[in-house]
Amino acid sequence: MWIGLYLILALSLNLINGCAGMFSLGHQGFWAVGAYGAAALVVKLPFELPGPVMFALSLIVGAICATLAGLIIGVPCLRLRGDYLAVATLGFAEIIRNLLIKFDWLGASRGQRIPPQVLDPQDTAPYHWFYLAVTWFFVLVTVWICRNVIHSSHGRAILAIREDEVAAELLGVNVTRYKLLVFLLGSMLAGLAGALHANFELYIAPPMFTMLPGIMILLMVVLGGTGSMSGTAIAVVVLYSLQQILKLSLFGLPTSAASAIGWPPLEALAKSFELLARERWQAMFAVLLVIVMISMPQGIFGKRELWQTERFRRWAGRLGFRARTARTGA
Amino acid sequence: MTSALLACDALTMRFGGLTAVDDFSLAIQPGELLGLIGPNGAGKTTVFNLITGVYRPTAGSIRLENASIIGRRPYRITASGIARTFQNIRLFGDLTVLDNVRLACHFRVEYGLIDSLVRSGRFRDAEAKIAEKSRRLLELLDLADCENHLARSLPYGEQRRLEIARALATEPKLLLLDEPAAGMNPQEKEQLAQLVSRIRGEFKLAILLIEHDMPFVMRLCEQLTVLDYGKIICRGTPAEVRANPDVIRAYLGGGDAGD
Repeated sequence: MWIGLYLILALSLNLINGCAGMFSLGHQGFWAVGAYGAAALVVKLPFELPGPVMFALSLIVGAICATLAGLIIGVPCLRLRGDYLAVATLGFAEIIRNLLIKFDWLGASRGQRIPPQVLDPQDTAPYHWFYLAVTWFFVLVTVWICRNVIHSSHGRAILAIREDEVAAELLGVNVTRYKLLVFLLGSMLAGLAGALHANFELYIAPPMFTMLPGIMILLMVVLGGTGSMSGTAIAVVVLYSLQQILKLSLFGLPTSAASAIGWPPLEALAKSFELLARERWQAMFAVLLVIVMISMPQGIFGKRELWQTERFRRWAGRLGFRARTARTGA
Repeated sequence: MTSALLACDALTMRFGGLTAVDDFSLAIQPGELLGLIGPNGAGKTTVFNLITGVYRPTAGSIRLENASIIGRRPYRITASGIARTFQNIRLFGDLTVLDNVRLACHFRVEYGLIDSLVRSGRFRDAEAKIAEKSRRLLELLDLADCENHLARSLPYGEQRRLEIARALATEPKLLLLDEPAAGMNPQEKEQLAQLVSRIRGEFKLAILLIEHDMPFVMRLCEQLTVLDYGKIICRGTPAEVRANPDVIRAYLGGGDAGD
């Protein structure tokens, strides 16, 4: 479930950061707007709707709210570049979060409960399977949107903006329009993820949308290679799993290994390492990020896709597949 | 004057206290090949930036086919028929050679975002047409073999040619070439000169050329305009320009003019 949500978030951020080259740090803001938009609809709508209809409607409303937020932020901010854009988007996300903390209508800092619309959460298995299926359906939709947009003339215009804004404009690309378009598309998908999140967790609160998860999404994009969809997807799976493993104290493996050896100082060391992993897993992430940025400054795949890398082709060739050359291959 | 493809009149560009282009006038007829020369810092590239809308002139007018283009956004100017190459090559380095050219067909594309999402028939037709046109251009410029290479990986001379191919893909009426021969050896320059004449014949377009290499310019252009410190100091055929004392002074130094 959460891998699916992170996939939608990271792939949509990849569209903004990786493909169009606009460094945004505010993705968690759109995520929050989507979640709260959906929650507002479900909680505050004055008349009753059948559960599934309400659920579908809340997804649409969440996406629309985030798109509108994207429009409000995008129009003034997209004239900024690089660091300035990053700071402005980060500022926006923090404003959203602080507003939500003060916003009593939707629970303020206490958070907001959302009554379940589809299935009963007490009945764990069907509930989880349902949301898993819906989320992964939207992951596929996200992949489909990203892929079809990028492999089109519009996508080429977007990539050209990343490469050289001035040259793109002088070759007939309406740079402002495309930047806004990508930004809206990205925030819409983030809003969708937020709406799914709210409907699944049944409780949302401002601390869920701090900079930290935002940085986590950004990390997924950067580690995977900005602009590479498959790289982003792999980074999502790896980082999310890693985060969970660290939070679970690496399954207690270090201590059991140390007690098997049976040397007290080692056991103490293993214990503190586990504690560090559980309580301060972010620190481990920072180390990881530094290592990756030094050894692979372009991310794992750079701007290419998995199947475009040399190693993958060699590997596929050994398995007897004829690797496709570029899509446009002769 | 009315028949001119492009007419610049009394064009002036000031950056703060510096007058980069001063009272510049120029008329280009359809199909003409004009040269714009002058010492470094004379304001040649600024003229290009004014014509393509990168800068907005402080004063003066620019008319393309009798319609003023001042204040028009660069991408709209390109759409109305002016294309350029850059002095310092500005290819999209991480895109393939073919994509660089295909991009330049972008503003003629008629399908919308929805078409590309559902891969409609309109999308496929348009994409096929773009690919075909781009390949034809690459062939013309001898780049067909490397269409799947990244533009960044091409050797210098081919990058220059790719820039020209990309500019031609916008189907311009006027092509602005900013030092196309810079950094080329004599043999490459010779090929480039042939290429420029061939393009001009084939696409029936007007070309305005900035170049430092005098033999190259003298050979190609019918008319030359010489700029120095933003001012036009001489206009005429290559032979006239060569004999003009002001031009010699501007290039070789003398009096207070030193470069």
